[in-house]
Amino acid sequence: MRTARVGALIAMALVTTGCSFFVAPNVATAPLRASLAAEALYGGPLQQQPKELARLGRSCSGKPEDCRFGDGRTQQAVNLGAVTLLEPSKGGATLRAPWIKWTQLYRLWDSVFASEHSVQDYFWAAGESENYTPLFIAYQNFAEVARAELGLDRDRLRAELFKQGREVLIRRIRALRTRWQAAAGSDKSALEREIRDHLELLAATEQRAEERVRKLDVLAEEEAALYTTMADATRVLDGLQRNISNHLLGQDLVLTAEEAKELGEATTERFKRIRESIDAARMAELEAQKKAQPPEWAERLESILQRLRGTGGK
Amino acid sequence: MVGPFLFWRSALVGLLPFTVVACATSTPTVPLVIQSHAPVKATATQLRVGVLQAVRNWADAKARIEDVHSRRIAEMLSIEADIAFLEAVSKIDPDGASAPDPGRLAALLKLRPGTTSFEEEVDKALTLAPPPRSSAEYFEAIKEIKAGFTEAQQDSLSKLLVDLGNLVGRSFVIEDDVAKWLREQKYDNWSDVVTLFVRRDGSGRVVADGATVVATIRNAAADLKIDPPDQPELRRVSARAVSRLRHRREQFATVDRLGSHLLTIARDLETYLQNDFEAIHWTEVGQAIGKAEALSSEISK
Repeated sequence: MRTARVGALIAMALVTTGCSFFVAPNVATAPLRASLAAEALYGGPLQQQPKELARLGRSCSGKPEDCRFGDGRTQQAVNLGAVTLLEPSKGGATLRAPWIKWTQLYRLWDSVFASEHSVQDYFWAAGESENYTPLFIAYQNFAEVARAELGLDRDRLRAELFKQGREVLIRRIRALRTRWQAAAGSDKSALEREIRDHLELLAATEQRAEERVRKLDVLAEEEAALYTTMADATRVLDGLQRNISNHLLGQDLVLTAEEAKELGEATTERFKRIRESIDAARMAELEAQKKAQPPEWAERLESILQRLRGTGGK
Repeated sequence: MVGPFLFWRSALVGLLPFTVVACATSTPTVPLVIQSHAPVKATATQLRVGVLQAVRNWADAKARIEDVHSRRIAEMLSIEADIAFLEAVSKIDPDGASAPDPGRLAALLKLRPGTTSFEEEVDKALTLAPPPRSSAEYFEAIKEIKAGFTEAQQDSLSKLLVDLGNLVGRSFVIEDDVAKWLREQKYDNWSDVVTLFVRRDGSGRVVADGATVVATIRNAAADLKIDPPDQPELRRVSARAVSRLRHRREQFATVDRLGSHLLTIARDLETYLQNDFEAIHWTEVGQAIGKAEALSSEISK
């Protein structure tokens, strides 16, 4: 009798729950976990990621409403409840026994056994730590360092160049002045003109030193532009990844396919321009090296002189 | 007693078909949260293609960044060489009569070039720097002239090959071995060697770098009575820059791994969202995330 009652209860439970006992753990948590971890790999701590993709890389900790997961507890409960409490059994019921959905009996099961998961449960712990540097921040840091470190080198080189160039000119002016003081007539006026020329050169020494080191700026900018483009491309990929996470969380998508496509094409175009610029600069350097070679006649002359020296030696 | 038992038995028998029907269609991997992935199927593909393109772009960018670093160091070395030249001139040339390279001085300070005699012009042409040649060509040129080397020069050459082998961590028997190594490493010029070459021991300590390699060759060139590498000596500013740029490039490996993990996740998510449940290997995604954990704080500003 007792056995029969137990059997009947089991049968009833199976029927009313739509075989929830036999359903494997919710596999949707695995892709959601992976998708959120990927977001952390792109943009850093999810709790600090701003809602606006354009602001990715800046912490939103000051304003919770601007944060990717900064919704209040009530809003979170509504979102999560809709996803984890109502939808799962609805989905399961639809797939297995439609009448379970019609009777809404699954709600009874859920009210007792379903548990609400917090989004924080899916966060990737390492991606939430402050000392972790994700992809976007890495590119951004590289770009910033490439621009900042150059200033130190360039200023030092410019100052040294200015100092040494000035030293040479001042010594020359001193020598010219000594000659000018001793000279007379037309020589004196010629020397005066020469001194004035040197004074002009002296006034422009700093500017020339600045021009000499300017090429370093171009090179640093080329490098920084590559990092910046990579960082911007990462922002688009993070947007697509958010779309997938949001889809798995039952939330709205943040980036349309068309927008992502346009941004992707813009990135390709930027890369093309940067590559062309770097290649052009490289070619220009090679051309300059070729021009610096001695004229052809110098080589011939040298070989003739060598021959003559050889003959003379014998 | 029989009545209730029969009731429950009939109830069980009556419910059994429902139970069987309900369970027969169940599969162990039913997506409970989302019923259709249609809205993001295209997004998943777009993401996978995008990450793949980003990984390719990064590989290309790295090659160009190495090139830019090499050119940047070459430019800095050139500026430092000019500074050293001006310093030397300021000490020995108070009246401009005995400047070591009047043309260079005139170009640097925009001085008005003086009139030169035919003899000076010929001298100038003959003392012009030899045509630029790659680092590999430098060693190939040694091969051509070594037949005329004295015994002392031969010994110096052998010592140079041994020293270079120790620095690089390879065995160099003849000059061609060095040229081959330089070509393998794609070091087209001396600036590439100075900027890009570094050898570390097991604990990550720098054992040898490009500046040491070039300095060793420069020292040996004096004994061999050949031209030294056409590369200015590394001074303080460029030495620091080489070290900083090297440190930056060392962090690229971590970025590579981040890209690799993102690509794994993007591929698996695409497979999942295309509803191909059998093809998915979540353990791999788990491994990718696990590996990513180890990357924490490896990239520093």
